[in-house]
Amino acid sequence: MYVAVKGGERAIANAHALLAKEGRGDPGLPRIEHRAVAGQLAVLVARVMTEGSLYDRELAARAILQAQGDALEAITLVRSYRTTLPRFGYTLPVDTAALPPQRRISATFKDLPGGQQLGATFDYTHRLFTDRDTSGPRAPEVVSPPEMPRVTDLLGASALIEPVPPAGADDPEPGDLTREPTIFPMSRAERLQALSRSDEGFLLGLAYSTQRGYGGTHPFAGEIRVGEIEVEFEAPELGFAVPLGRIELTECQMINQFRGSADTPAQFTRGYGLAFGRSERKAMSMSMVDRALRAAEFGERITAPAQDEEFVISHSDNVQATGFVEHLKLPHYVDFQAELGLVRQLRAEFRERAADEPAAPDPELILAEARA
Amino acid sequence: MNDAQPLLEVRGVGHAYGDPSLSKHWGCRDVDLDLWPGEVLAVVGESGSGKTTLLGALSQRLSLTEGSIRYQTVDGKVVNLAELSEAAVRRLWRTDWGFVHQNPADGLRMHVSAGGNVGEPLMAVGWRHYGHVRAAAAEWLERVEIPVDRIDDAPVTFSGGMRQRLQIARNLVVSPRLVFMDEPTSGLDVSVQARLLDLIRSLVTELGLAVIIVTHDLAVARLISHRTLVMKDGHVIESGLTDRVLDDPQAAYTQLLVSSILQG
Amino acid sequence: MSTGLDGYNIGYLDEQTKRMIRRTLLKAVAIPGFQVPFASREVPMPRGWGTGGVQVTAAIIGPDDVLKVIDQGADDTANAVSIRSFFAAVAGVRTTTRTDEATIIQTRHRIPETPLADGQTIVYQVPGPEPLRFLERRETETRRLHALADYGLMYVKLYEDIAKYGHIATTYDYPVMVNGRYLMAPSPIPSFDNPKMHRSPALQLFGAGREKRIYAVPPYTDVESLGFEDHPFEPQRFDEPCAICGSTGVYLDEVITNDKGGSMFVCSDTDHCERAAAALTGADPQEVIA
Repeated sequence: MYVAVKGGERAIANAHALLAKEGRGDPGLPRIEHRAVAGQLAVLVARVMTEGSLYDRELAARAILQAQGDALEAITLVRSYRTTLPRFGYTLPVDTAALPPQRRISATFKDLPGGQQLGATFDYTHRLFTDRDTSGPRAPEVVSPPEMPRVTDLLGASALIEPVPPAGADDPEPGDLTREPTIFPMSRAERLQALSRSDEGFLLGLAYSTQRGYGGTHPFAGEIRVGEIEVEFEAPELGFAVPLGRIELTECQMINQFRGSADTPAQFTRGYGLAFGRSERKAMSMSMVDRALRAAEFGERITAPAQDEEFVISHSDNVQATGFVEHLKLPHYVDFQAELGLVRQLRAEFRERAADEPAAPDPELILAEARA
Repeated sequence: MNDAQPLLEVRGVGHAYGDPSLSKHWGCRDVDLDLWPGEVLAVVGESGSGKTTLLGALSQRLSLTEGSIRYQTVDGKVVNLAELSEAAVRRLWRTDWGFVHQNPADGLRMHVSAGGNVGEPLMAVGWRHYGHVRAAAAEWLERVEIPVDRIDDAPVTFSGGMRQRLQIARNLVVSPRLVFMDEPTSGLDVSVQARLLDLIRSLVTELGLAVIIVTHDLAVARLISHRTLVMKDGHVIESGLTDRVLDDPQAAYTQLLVSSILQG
Repeated sequence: MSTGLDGYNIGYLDEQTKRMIRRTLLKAVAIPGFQVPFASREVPMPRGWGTGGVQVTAAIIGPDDVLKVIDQGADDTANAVSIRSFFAAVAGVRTTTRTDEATIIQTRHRIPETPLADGQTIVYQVPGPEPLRFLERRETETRRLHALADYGLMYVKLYEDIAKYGHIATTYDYPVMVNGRYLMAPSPIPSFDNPKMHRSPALQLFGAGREKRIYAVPPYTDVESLGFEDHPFEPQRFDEPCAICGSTGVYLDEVITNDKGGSMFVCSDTDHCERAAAALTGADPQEVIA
């Protein structure tokens, strides 16, 4: 006699226990310390902070461990935690030019004030498995760091690049996607917020597509900076800004092909990317997609997915994306039953109709008769 | 219906492209015209003449930079189109107006069946009986000479001429009073064009439609319009009865236009 | 009875967020069937797994509530168990499997067989709040269509179904007209359940977390499933009775019993089935889970 399946609660409890056991790995080996993750897997931690939208290296490291290395699971953990945190207000806009960066390069000029500083980068490594000496660079530290004005400010001084905010416009208030519902069309500020927490792989693919003819203007990497900046908060009771501490950021300013019209002289246009920690690929991809999504501002034809705001922003949040893709694992048998019912009914009707019509000659039968 | 008022009263209409506070480029300017029920008005000119801009402005696809358009509704009231809400304009499009695009793909749902395309305007105004919708669609397919057994086929499988006829059926099924047509026959073979124009002409007469048809082809104007407007550089340079304008052009430019077509 | 997880507010969401959601709910109730955008928060389960329903429930649940959670009609499916235990932990409420004892029922893809009563609230988990989404993928355009009550496109889809299959081919998430004004997606409940929404005495709330929309049907509101006069909406029917409790006129799950495709049909609503089966044998139905 069929008995309805029960024991869902016990099954879940056991599943959780097995997951924890798998996550421990070989119990004979020491557990990984979350500080070791924060220190030695810094790029992964940076990704989890950026897409989790919360700057906290330890928390991100713990998330990575609890998620057993699944970056999106870790990001989801961080986001869920972020929701519960009290909100005090906004910082002052961070000044990425204020502190000397660890890394600062520009593809647009051979040399520039402050020079090209490579910093810690994989760029010129040979991708071979190797054990590197970890004691640090041989050249002595620069005692007084050189002035490093932003490339876009240099170009902006002679009005060669579009000013931001545009001439005559007010500096817009930041939108906040986590506090206001998303409605299209979005302002650029809201778009940038969405892009900064977007999935790196999705943006990478879109950015790549713009380089291969799917929309896109030829970008130049005006400046990429990686370094720490000071975060300042203006407490209303004090009336002045208080420094809260430093965070590490990666910033990318892409310089894109110039625009001009009968009324305005030609100027370069911008794409902007910003991410926590060492996240160059993300910052670069973000800046290229940012520029692509500004197509309408410049009267460019919108022909490619990377230029379609609704498409890009609706599908760029990986927490949403993975949730919905993976939800297909949930039972859907009720709806499947409904579909099954319809398909069976249509097939029955089809057979009835075929029975009513005179039988079409059966090719097999004709062949068999011919051979006989 | 007020007989003393035209269906459409257009005064000083102009549309400028670009930033209005800076130098403007006028697509069309200073256009006056009256359109009466059952009248077919052709707007002719070469490319760049402003005829398409004018059509856009009249059909509310482009904003009016200058001037006014007044329309007489079916209950005799005259409304200024600029004062209508978006909902009211949308209602007019469902019941009073039609727009036949140059490229039929712009005016059809290419992957919905022919029956669905013609049935949609009926369903949008509240028809809720499948059999009636289908019958009305079939009747219209016949009227535009599309074989009725194609009623369940999507226009993506139709020839250009058939798509255009389907677009016409879709526009006329709700018995509109005014139809805008943007070069409905260009891009079609000459023989297909001729058949299509014949069809348009007979439907217009049968239904008492008012039509504004934009075309660069004087022969099209000759064949189906009562009156013609000639445009150049955004302005109307001549207007009048079609036969008069084409047989006895007054403006130098019109004379040039007329003389440059081969008499066939 | 626990008073919540350490460090978390009762009901998990902070009070500001609950207020924001309640304001959204009030607006939704005031405009039956209209999708109200809201700043959906992240909650500790993934998007697509009921976060909208969870936020709505979290915003309205209180210490005197009794909560039932079902998925596919069953209290015991993994996700229903997970959500029920979440609320037991963060809100410290009594939970139950009995429809008639619940004050709030959070559901995925079914409406219980037991008719709902005045004073009950049913919270639906919604994956896709926009009934026109697969016909018109732009949000900017569907917003307009709703504002102008321009629903011709939906009827085109129904027309095409009839032309192609002879039937309307939608079997779940069947579109409805609410209060004669807004076209609404009832969530992927089978069309079999649609009639239960019409003039229900219960308050019906719909939460779409990932898509960030909330909508509602107040008690005793007209909810009509779309159709044509000559092809009216017909909910799917099951001709067999449940193999366990013998009920007819209820939604059944098909259970494959052997590898030759043999199957049997049992109630999807486990609470209903248990009680009907108990009534047959005279045994006690399951106690309320505290």
